[in-house]
Amino acid sequence: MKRNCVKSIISIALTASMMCGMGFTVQAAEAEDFSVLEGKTISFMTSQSKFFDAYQTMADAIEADYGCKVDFQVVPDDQYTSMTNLKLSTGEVPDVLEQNYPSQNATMNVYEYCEDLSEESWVSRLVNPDMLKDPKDGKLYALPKESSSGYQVVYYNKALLESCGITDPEPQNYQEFLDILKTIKEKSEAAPFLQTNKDNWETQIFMTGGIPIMLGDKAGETYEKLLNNEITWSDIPEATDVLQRYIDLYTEGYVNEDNLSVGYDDAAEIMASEKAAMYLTVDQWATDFSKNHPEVELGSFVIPFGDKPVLPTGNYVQGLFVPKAGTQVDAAKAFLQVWSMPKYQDLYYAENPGYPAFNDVNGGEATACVQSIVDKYITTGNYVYELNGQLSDANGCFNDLWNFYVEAAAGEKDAESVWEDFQFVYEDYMEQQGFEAFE
Amino acid sequence: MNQKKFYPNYFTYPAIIAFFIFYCIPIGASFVMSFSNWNIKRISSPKFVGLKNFSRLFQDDYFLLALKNTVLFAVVTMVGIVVLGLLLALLLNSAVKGKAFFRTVFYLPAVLSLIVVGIMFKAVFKLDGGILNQILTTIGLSGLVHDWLGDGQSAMWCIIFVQIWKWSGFAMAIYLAGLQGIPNDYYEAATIDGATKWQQFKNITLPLLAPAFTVVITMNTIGGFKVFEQVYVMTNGGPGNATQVLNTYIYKEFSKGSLGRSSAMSLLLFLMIAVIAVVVNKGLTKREVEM
Repeated sequence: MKRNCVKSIISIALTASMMCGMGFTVQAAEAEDFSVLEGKTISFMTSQSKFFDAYQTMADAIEADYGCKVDFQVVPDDQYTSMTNLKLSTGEVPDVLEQNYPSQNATMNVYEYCEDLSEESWVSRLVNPDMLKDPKDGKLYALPKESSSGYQVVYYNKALLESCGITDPEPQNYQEFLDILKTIKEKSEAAPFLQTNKDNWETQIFMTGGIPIMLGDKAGETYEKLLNNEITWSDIPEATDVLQRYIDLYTEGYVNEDNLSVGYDDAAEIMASEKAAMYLTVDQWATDFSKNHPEVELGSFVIPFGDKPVLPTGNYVQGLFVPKAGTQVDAAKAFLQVWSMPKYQDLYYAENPGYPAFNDVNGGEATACVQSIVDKYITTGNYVYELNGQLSDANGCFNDLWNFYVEAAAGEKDAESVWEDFQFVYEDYMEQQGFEAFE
Repeated sequence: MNQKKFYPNYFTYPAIIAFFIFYCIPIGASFVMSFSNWNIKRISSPKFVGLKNFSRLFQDDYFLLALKNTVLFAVVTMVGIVVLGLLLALLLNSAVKGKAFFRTVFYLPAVLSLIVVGIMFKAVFKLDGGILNQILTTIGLSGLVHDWLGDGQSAMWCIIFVQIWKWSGFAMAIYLAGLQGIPNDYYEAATIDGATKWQQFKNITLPLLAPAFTVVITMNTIGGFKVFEQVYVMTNGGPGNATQVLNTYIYKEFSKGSLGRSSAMSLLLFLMIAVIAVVVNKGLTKREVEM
């Protein structure tokens, strides 16, 4: 009897303590403690094309609520990737940095230099966590900005094209695309095809989207062989073909003359002033342009590299990484949690409507020319992933390839020599990375 | 009693230790690592690869291009700065009205940040709306309008021009100090002896300015080989790789994670600068004359 009584008391006490414990946990989840942010300044490194004015709006709101300032360090696009890698490798890091995610994971060596964020509480609110998991270890290394991005599309000035007699173009094959360029060249003063090669990441869009489309079903096998050093880049005729088409755009006079000295940041002004008719770029540009130049209506279409239009898209989003070498990693993680909250994310999407990364954030109404691409290609599954994302192990040497593309655009290289020269760089890079097939 | 005070040697130890830690050790480590395959991904397990990094460099066309551009930059800027600086100094050492003002104006670029100067000249050399092209158009030379930084050839010369513009005033200040140290008696005696202005310049000014030449030539040769910021800000080695110099190429390799390779390049650059600086300095010092 006495023993039963003791058991009952212990059971009740245990149950009560467990319930208290659970209650505490629930309470903690509901009201997380962000006092670690009070009085702190979070250094936030990003690039010109990744930075949006809405970031400052979000930062101001966070400062008002939590007493935490954000110091944005905005780096020119053409210096960003090398600077990011340099900072990570030397330990001179910001608290938070923005980069393409997860496609840049291997290049940045996030496994060694960045915090694993898989257990952060915002992960449960992600729209598509599977796309964000690292292909090697399945972990999450960054807080995403959107649920998908990187649609590589031509955005054109509708009024300008209409003045050339072209209304809502939808080229169905490459020749039709060339016909549009020819018509614009003949009927207007504008450069038909804007290229901003000062930022070589813009130059590469044509190839990184076109090559996988031309490879079609052979894409996976080709990437595998490249990574196993069984073929060279010169052995891929589709790559040479796409690059040759790109070079032809220059020789035909379809590209703006100052293409080698203007960058992504100049593109909006050039398009708004009708100096160029269309720009092959990513969707973030169109959203930003439509906000800043509501008087110019943009249309969009996909360059049909093959026998039908297929959308090349990035299998990445913009992500915020927390470097391990940061001086206030806990504060940086708390900052990301706050940054992910609907209250602040909504501020971003109010200015830049799109496709949020979190299921409780209001993405607003996306820009019409972007939404039409999503409706036609993303929702119907008519898309392929760009080359870079498929060869993430080699991403670190792609900057050299993009420089070779720029040299080809400048008329200093032909398509064959680009791939020959790149093979030399590629083999060396892969060997230095320690890939057995290259040793 | 005239008592000389000597400070103990150990006062220098903190400086020597700091110098050893922050200068000697990194240089030594860089020397060792240049013979390894040290990489970001193998940060703690580099392997000895002998001379492979060096032999690879001389098979790399872009490294050779960077080397060629660096030598071109160093030689042309050194000559430009030496000549222009001397001309400015000679002009402003004579009885020119407002010479204090002009000395300040010509010296001013030397105190400006290289980043600011780079950004400023990017605006000057822009194709569309750039100041240079606008001037050319205004004076009826629209045929010369050009994408100065978008053309590999002209981009390198634009960067060279900016370097000369920036440092000629500094060289001028060094020459002025030298010119003002030459006693006027020499010129008076030469004039009495019937020497022409050119003979005075050749036989008095130039020999007595030799120490100033040594400083200006040595400093600008070393500075030329070490060029980085101007190229990084104005073209980042582009378009393509057209304006790549050794330091931008080293930076690019380093940021790719190729630490052994970039150490090998740094070592080559270090040796090149050291040899050239010693040879130039020794050669010029021999020619200096006592006043």
